[in-house]
Amino acid sequence: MTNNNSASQEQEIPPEWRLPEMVAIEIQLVEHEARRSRNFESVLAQYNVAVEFIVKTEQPIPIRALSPVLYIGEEHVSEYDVLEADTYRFLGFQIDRFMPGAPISWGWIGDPQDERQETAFQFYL
Amino acid sequence: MYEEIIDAESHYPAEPGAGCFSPEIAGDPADPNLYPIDPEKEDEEPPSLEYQDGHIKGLVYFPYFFRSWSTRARAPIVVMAHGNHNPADPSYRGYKYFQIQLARIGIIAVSVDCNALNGRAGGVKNIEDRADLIIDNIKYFQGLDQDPNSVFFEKIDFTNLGLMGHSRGGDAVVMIPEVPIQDVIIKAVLALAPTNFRYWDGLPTIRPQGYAFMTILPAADGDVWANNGAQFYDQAIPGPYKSQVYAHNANHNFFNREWLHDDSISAMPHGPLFSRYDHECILSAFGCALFRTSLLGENLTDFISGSMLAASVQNRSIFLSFEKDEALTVDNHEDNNAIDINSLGHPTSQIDGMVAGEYEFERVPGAYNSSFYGQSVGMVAEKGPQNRIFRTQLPAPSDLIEKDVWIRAAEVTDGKSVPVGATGFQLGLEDVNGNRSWVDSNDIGGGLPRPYQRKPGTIKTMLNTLYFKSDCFEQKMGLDLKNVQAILVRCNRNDDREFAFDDLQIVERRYQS
Repeated sequence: MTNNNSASQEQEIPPEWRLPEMVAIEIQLVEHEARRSRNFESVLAQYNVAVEFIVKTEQPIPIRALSPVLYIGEEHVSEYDVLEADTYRFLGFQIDRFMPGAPISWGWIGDPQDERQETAFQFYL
Repeated sequence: MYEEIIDAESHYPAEPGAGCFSPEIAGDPADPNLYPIDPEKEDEEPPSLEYQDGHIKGLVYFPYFFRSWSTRARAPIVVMAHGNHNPADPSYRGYKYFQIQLARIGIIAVSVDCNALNGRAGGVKNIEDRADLIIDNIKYFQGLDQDPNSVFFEKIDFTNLGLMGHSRGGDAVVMIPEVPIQDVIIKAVLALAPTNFRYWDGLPTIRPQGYAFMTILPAADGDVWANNGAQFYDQAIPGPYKSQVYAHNANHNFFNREWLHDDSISAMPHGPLFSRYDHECILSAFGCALFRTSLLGENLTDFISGSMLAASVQNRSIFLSFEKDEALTVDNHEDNNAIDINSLGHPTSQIDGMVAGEYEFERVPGAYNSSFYGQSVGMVAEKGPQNRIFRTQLPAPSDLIEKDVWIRAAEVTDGKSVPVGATGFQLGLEDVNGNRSWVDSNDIGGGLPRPYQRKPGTIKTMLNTLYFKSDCFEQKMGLDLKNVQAILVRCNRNDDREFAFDDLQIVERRYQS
């Protein structure tokens, strides 16, 4: 039976989900080794090369269900790990689709295009 | 031609119970009435323990009678997983209320601590890591089941396993049945406000199949604002059924007691928001109905389909989609055979100014507009003159005695605003003599739901299943219910609205519960 001993402290303030300013980005081609498989193989195991984007931000990226995603022109990069509180490692696998000089923007995955945030950076390997 | 109409007055929000089909309020699926409970323990929590073994960590509740339980069959188990959140918070403790309810009805309820994966990563890999961790926890309990020193020794029935995941956890639990786990049979999966990272990455959405599938979609979700669980529902193959609970006035976070932010604020302006207690009642009622039916063999399917209403739930704000495997699909628009032919290979026709087409019910090029968030193909009846009709032919004169007609339907929104005033339509049957009888959508318990008001650009056309009981047509003189040759949809309102339809089915009543 349901009871109503709910948490009483609701935080009725809007979650701050604006992505921070991107202050630096380093791009290089790297070998990719898929995660160690314990119970099944990753769909990313098919890739042995990736473009690595080391992104430094002004502040940490907010934590929510959705992920931040980089856009290289219109190609998106959604796989990332946190290296430090303000440093993130994104990996893109569709390396042939990243066009030299393409502007880099970012946003939350699945969000409309007009909500993407522009950055000062372009794609060059 | 003889025509009869049952009441066409719009009276949204309708009281459940009005009109031809009257779902009754019939208790609460979360009530612990399966096993006799020691009255002295009624107010006590069932026993629980925190467990940890390396990266495997969580909280488990189990039935009262467990410790002295030597002769009973093994108990089913539900394993649940939270989503991405500040790892400083113990998110895995946020579903205690649900775990307690499951334990009280005889189900072992495990909540996995996924904090090691929170705030650290994103993308498909993070979902795979969560699925991996949940499987590790299942295997850990398999070990306890084999351990004579464990309270769980020979107590767990892994052939009756259910999964519940919230947010990224919901994404992960949909992935797990794709992985064979030795000696485990998954009977039910509940994805609560799930993400769908595979979809975002251009990979095929996993098609839930071979188990009962349910997704709960909070309409005021400000985080997973696209309600991606609708994609899982659309792709799921009923086995034996699939279910979608679209909850107006619910946000993403309030199903977990450790998640305090009201995320719906980012979806403002939106309709009224449920209290946290009302959120919990939704998960409790529908989750318990799902797992009691799938794991304990009780039949609470009527609560899942909406034929019965849980007393604890704010039912006026709940809109259900439901499909069973035992049904004749007249048209699901997935056959790539154009609008002129239905799924049975028979012709359709557009009469009296009807203009209808088949469209992607998905946010992709080719969609009718950007307000469709599922992953299906369906039909849109465009604006047009009052009483325009869409007719679909059955293969042969059909006996609809003890059979009902189900259809998913929605009022189409442009995604930016909700028009003033409710609308509706009529569903008709036509016999071999050309007699037609109509039943209004307002007369089948609640009518056609309104789109949920939220931030412009994110208002959704979300279909729900309407049940037209053949008894309602049979009441009308002139219709030969044993010889029905066509099903009709009539847009009879003079309000210039568009309608979305999908999954037109004939269902034998014996399969309905």
